[in-house]
Amino acid sequence: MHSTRKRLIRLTMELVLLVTVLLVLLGPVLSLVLWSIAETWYWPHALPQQIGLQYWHQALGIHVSLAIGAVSILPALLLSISIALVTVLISMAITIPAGYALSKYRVPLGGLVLFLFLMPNAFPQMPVFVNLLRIYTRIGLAGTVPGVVIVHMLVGIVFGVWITSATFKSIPPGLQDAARSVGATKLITFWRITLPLAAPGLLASAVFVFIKSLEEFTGTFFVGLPFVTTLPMMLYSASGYNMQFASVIALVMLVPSVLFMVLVQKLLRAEYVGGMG
Amino acid sequence: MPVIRTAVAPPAARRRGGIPPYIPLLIPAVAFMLLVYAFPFLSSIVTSFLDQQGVPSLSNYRRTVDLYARDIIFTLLVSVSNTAGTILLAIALAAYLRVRNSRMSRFIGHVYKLGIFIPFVVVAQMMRTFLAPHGLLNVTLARTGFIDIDSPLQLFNFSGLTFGFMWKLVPFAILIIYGGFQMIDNSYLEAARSTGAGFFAMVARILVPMNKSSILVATVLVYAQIVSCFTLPYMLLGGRTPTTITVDIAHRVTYFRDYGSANSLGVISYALVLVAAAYYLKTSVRQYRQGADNA
Amino acid sequence: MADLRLENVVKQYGRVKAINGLNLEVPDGKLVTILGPSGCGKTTTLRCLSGFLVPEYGRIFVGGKDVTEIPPERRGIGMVFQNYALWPHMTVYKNLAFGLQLRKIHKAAIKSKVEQVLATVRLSGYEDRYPRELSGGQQQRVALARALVLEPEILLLDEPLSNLDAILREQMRFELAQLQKRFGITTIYVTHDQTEAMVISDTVVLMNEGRSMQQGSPADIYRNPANKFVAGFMGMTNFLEAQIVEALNGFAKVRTTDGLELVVEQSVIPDQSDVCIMIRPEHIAFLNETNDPRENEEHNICDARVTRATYLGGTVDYELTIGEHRIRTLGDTQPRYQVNQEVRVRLDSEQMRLVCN
Ligand SMILES: Nc1ncnc2c1ncn2[C@@H]1O[C@H](COP(=O)(O)OP(=O)(O)OP(=O)(O)O)[C@@H](O)[C@H]1O
Ligand SMILES: [Mg+2]
Repeated sequence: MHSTRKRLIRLTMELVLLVTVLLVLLGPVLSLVLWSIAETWYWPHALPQQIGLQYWHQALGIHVSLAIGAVSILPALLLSISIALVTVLISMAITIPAGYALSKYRVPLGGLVLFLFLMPNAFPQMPVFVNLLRIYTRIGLAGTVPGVVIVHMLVGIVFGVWITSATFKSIPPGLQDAARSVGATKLITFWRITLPLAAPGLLASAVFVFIKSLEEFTGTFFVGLPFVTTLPMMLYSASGYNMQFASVIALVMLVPSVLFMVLVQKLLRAEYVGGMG
Repeated sequence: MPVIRTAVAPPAARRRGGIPPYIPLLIPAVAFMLLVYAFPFLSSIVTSFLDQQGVPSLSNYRRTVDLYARDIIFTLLVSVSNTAGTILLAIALAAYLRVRNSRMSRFIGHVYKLGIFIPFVVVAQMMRTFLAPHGLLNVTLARTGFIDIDSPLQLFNFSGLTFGFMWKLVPFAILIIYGGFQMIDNSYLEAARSTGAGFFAMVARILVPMNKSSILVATVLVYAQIVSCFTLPYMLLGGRTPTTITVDIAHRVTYFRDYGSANSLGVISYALVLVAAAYYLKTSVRQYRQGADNA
Repeated sequence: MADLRLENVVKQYGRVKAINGLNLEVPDGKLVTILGPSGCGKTTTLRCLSGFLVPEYGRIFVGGKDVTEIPPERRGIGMVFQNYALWPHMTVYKNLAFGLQLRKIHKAAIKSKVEQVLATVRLSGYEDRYPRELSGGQQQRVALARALVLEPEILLLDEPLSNLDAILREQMRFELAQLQKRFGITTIYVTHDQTEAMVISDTVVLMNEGRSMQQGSPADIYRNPANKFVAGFMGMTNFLEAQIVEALNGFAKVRTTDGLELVVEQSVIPDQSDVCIMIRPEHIAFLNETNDPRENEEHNICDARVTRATYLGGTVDYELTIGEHRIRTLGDTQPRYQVNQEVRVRLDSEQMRLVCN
């Protein structure tokens, strides 16, 4: 008797918890979805009076009309993806050697090098962006795509170095020694043994840098605006005047995030995932 | 007996005297970080102590304190209270996930992660629609009779900011803390239960004390993220006051091109995270060193 | 084929001397075991030989040629790693073929070589498996095959059997020794298992703290250990602290610290007075109350008390107290003596050895 009642209470409590968690988690997402399809929604109606995909059509460039104040997001999306791709390529070219060196060699002053790569995680990055803008203005990089790529690389390299060095460190050194002992030079060993074994980790790192670049807001805000309009910048400016359009962009931006969540949550350590937004 | 040779063999030449291989491997990354990170970082500190004419002075700080003392306190308040709230909630939920093994707990264990992967811009936009005076939350509350339909909750302030931060950071903290909880062997929990410990006793006496370090790491990272975050307060609070330091920095730069004050605000934000940053740097370097020795 | 020689090799890690003046000679086609406690520098020695480490001091010769500073990939020395180090992203076939491909050998030739070597390690048909799909013993044999397929002049094995269970280890031990004889490869085999060293080696090198303590055939080292460390490391043994009272031609009269007088037959008597008497359990005989033919000999007979008796199946392990010393010995199948029983034992004067610390 007693124990069944107890169990019932516990079950109810758990159910309440579950419902609360779902409401809190999904409420904002639902609100976003509703706004993205709301063509008319007057307070205090619980749901939009008129729904439709007008804003989606506008945003995706299917219809063009000036009436509702939305534009095609495709140019911004394309720019964001291009910036992200370039960022990944350059970042990986820099981080793979650095991560390898940190994992395989006892670097003198290694502590200092580590420090340098950890600092951006430990301290607010905003003052750095502010001063980059000042430097950029002087050398003519302000408001240019290369300037934005450099800022995105800063975000990418910090995480890239950590993930790649952890990946390389997880490869038992014996596997490389074994290759040397059957006659492979250092270079061949790297190409045929180390790199293939590190591939999953390096891929995860590349995807991570890609996503980070797609999402980057603060740095782009300072050094890129008003000329470099990436997707987050477009979302920001739309959010000031057009709730529906901004919600559409936010939902579009949700896609890579959710894909990323499914793709790499197993591959990465917890601290890397959150990052410093 | 060991053979002792009297003829001494010649010493082997030292290994190739040239530069060690890690130098060229590290140069691009280190140079990049020095140029794009360390230089602006140091220059933010230096400029904060120079006045308009480039003479060393504290004028920036004086102006900053005059104008933004309230915002600095607000930032500290938001950061500390939101960190505390985030960590406490995360401990409770992580403990629930760890102790309870039901279908519901496993389901929550999957869905809670959503927030971690959503960037702050998107979170901010969500909150702008969800928490608005005529947003979904107010509509729902009004419809269910919790609030008066003519005076909706005003949430583009401390409360909304707290909700936004916690929405994104509680899952992140759970991820780290739950990771620590999972390392604890079931036998400890079973032993506690066999001596009659309930859920709260198990959390307070076993899980938390045995996971001090992961909880501390989560605390430090959550706190640093809140202090550093620009996107959410900027988009949610807009021009309302009080606001956070990061928003003030943006105002100083975009409206006034006043780098001196912006940088002094920046240095103050460094100061706010100093202890947390030192702890984070210390443990990360130590962890890395240990890893290197085991390799 | 080639012989191998280390001259006065010193290898330091920072201030720690992992190898400290090591001399070693391995004749062509022989199997030498390096035996020693953990941390004595065995792996370091192999890594110097294979070229992963360059010694600070000393030279290494293979077939008379100085290879001290030649990098590992150009030494042509085969190596079997303790944890096998099979490449997880390659099949068994690819693991074996990798080294051959680097030598630009024709595809068909590679195939036939790999198949042949896999047959010698009895793994034909496992070509397409990945390492994780093999048992520990099979992985071990693939690791061996990967080294053998390149037909190296020298083969180095670092505790190749230490990850296997006892039965498999014993079986693999013989197979390894057989293969080595068949291929006639000059081999250095590292182990810290003394039985393993006894079973397979032509020569055993006993190492401690980065130095060679003694080199010789297993029987020689067992019977005539150069010092107390060697005696203690090779098999179970008893030590009695003693002083030499009288040294004659091939004999020594010694007195233990607790006053027992013993005679030791030994061709070379150490020329210092404080020594240690070493006697192995099997060289201590119980004297029956009944007539033992040599009971009348007056030497080396002492009274003892049984302080522990452990039945081990084939034998009984006794601990005896003689004076102040506790001594281990072996009795035959039947547990004849009880704890606290007074017995008489004879210590075999021919088998006792005087050793220095
Ligand atoms: N990379 C290194 N850095 C510093 N010291 C080392 C390093 N590798 C080995 N040593 C030290 O050198 C000594 C010899 O090590 P080595 O690995 O050769 O021992 P070993 O005889 O192979 O031991 P085991 O039987 O445990 O494998 C040890 O004291 C060890 O601590
Ligand atoms: Mg070893």
